[in-house]
This record gives sequence, structure tokens and C-alpha cells, in this order.
Amino acid sequence: MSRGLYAYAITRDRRIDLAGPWLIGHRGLALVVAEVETERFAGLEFDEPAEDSPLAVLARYHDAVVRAVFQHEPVLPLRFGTVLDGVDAALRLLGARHEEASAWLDRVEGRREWGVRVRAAAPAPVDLDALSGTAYLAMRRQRLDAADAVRRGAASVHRALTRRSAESTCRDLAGDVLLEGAYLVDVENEEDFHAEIDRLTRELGLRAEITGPWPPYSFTKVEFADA
Amino acid sequence: MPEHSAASLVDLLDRVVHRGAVVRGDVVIALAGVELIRLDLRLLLIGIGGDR
Repeated sequence: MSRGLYAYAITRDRRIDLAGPWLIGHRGLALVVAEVETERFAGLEFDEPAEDSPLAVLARYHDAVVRAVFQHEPVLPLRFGTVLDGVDAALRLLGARHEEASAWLDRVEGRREWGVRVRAAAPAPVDLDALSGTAYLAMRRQRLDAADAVRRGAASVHRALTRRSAESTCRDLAGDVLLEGAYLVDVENEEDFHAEIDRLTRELGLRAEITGPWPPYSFTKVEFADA
Repeated sequence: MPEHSAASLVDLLDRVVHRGAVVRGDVVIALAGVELIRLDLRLLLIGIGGDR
């Protein structure tokens, strides 16, 4: 059985009680780690994983640990499945990437991530047999115009929310999703941010699904290579 | 009206597995299958919303 140190996040070296995982500190920074058997990660089912699948359980635990740290200190979440070759490796990583990691922690400090998704409303069903050709064309035109307006509305929501966040990012859109945005928002601006979502969705007749607050998962696009 | 929905598993995996800082180099133990999972999840998530 091979063992390693699963690394959840980089944070500042403070006393945080995590009931399991612990902190390896080095010059004011710390790696949040726990000993793992690497076999736990073999053969994970990723194709439409069920709620109780091993991948889902491991990912939820990973998220719980990151959040527990995030309650106290800024975090730089590490990607799922980051396993280090022992304490020496952890210290080497923290030593080699100290400045970079510190800068990233400063960048996300006092901010939380919010997810905002806007979907197109499903059009009301129509009895096509009851429509004349002209009425059908008029209905199609009207629906295309409406869809266009909703798309423009979603884009304006993204612009408005970007103005109220420190950073923002959009995912690719698929299906009926018109906006799949993530926003890194200063905690003191959150009320304003949510009020803006409220106001815009009401004004534009859109429905927004909001997730969060999240640790800044979508805003730590950094690779610590060859540490 | 905005809805505060409970985060779905897709939202969670999108962040935990697909995002976050990456560590490479000889400090890391390669996990059999995890690189593959990342790649395949990326493919899966393109259908749901990958990086723009």
C-alpha cells in the first residue's frame, strides 16, 4: 500500500483545528495536508458520477477541508488529486513557490466566489395545427426576437456583475444555458452584488441560479511547476 | 427572482476537480488514473461548461 500527503490548499500559517488534516508551515505559509493511501484514487468513476460515488465523496471531502480553512484564512485551493511525496516535498514546494503563493493569497483575501447561471425559459407549447401559415411565421419571428433579447440580457447581466466583482470568468455555454459566470466578490460588496442580480433579473425577466459562496476555486489559475 | 440553489455535484466537481492551482514536478506523486480523470472530466464538462 503506498502512502502520500494529500494536499488540499495553500494558506497562511495560522493555528487552525481541522479535525484530521493538518498544516505544514514554512515562512508564514502552510500546506493543508492529510496522509492518504494512493489506492483510494484508483479507478474512480468520472462518467456521470452518482451522488454517493467514490469520486463524489472524495470531492465533497476535499471541498469541506478547503472551506474549513477558508472560514479562517484566505486559501489557494489545489486541484483534486494533488498528492505530495512527504513532508520534505511539501516544504520544498512552499520554499520554492513562497512569493508566488503569497501574492495569490493576497489577491483572493477578503473575497468569495459566487456562481451565476442563467437559462433560457422554455417556450410555451403551441398547437401547430391550430395556426395558419402567417400566424406560424409571426410566432417564429416573435420567438427568435425574444430569444435574442434574453441572450442580450444575459450578456448585460455578466457585464454588470463583472463591474461589481474583483474578477470574473465565464464558462462555455451549452444547451439552454445563457450565462455560466463565476465572480470573485469583495465580502463588503456582496450585498450590492446580490442586489444587482435581483434588480437585473427582475428588470429583464430572467431567472438566475446562484451558487456560493465558494472558496476562490475559479480564480486560482496557477501552475506550480518543477518546485 | 434569483434562486439560491444548493450546489449540484456538477458545480462541485467543476471547481474541485477542474479548477484550482496545479502542482507539477518531482514533489508530486502521480496518481494512476487521476490525470486521466482530469482529461476526461474536461471532456465531460465541455458539455456542461468548460473554460471559455
